Amino acid sequence: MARLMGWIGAGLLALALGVGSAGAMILWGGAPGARITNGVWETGRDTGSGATDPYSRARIAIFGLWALPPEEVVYYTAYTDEDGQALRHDCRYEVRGHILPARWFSLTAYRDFHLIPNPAQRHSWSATTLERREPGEWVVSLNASGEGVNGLPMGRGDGVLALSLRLYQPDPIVAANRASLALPRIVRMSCAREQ
Amino acid sequence: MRRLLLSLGFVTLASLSHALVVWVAPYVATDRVVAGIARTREGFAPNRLSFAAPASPSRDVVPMSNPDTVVASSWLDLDAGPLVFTADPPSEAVYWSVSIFAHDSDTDFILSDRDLTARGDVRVLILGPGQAQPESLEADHVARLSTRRGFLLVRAIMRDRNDAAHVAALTEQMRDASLGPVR
Repeated sequence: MARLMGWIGAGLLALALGVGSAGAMILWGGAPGARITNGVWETGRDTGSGATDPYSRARIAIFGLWALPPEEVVYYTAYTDEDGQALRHDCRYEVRGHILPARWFSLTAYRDFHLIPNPAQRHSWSATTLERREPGEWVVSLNASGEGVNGLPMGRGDGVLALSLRLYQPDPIVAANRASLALPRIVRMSCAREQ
Repeated sequence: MRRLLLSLGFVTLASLSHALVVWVAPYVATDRVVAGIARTREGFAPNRLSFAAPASPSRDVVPMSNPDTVVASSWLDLDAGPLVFTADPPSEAVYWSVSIFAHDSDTDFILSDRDLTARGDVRVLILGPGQAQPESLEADHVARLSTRRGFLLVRAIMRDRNDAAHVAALTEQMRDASLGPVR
């Protein structure tokens, strides 16, 4: 009886180890080199293409299903400001950018990977809606209520906040320079409580 | 010897369960999202194009969905034979594309308005694994799905989702698209 229990225990441990390690590799971004970082922004090397490694495919399916390949759309995601601090709904940020080399681009806010409810129904700013401050330059005011120029609300609920930067039909130079392309800065202006 | 066999069995079981989770995750994620769309969108059925209002928090079942797109989509089931998709890319769209994803979420086909040489109807023949192109049908493009089931997604980017007249005009233009069996 004791031996049988030992076998069952070992089997369950093996299953837990296999499932747990798979989950961890999916959550942590897949195979080595599968993710490209550019400052606080990150993007998948082969998002949406058949060349995606199985871990990245699983990750994309869970967190960004039906993404298109980089020659069609490049998706960058940021979870922190430029100091590496996680985005917080009780902080005010400015996202400072310029016109990006693509047919169209947008900046969208998410909480727990979904759109954030807000009275203005404002979820993004894009190449066709951004009010420009200087020729070719723009600022998005990111805060709980979406106040300010190009205000983007983060709401007041708890959860993982993220910004997604989409470049539709990027210029050919983008795909080859995803780690060095000049991307918007996410500058923390103030917080209700300092950590 | 027994200890060696036990260790080997342990590693094999752990490896198999690891591989199974990684392999099955995209299928489960796809099925989960498709079930969510079916719950929230009227008229969503296999091999029939359905049209959605722009994404909003109350209808947001796709993780990190793009709120600036008007979409039409369909779950594809190619067991009964090939399908044909036709559309006239809307002039109101900032960007338009049709993409077809395998059940495991791989992008098997994409065609955007930039790829088109002329305005007017686009016809895409959709074939499943092992299916031959019907001689009776002339198609501008052929999409071969790597799985029997998949997802077709038409995206049209809005100039401004808060411009109601523009969104209404674009949505109306999107409704010219159709999907059905090859006749």
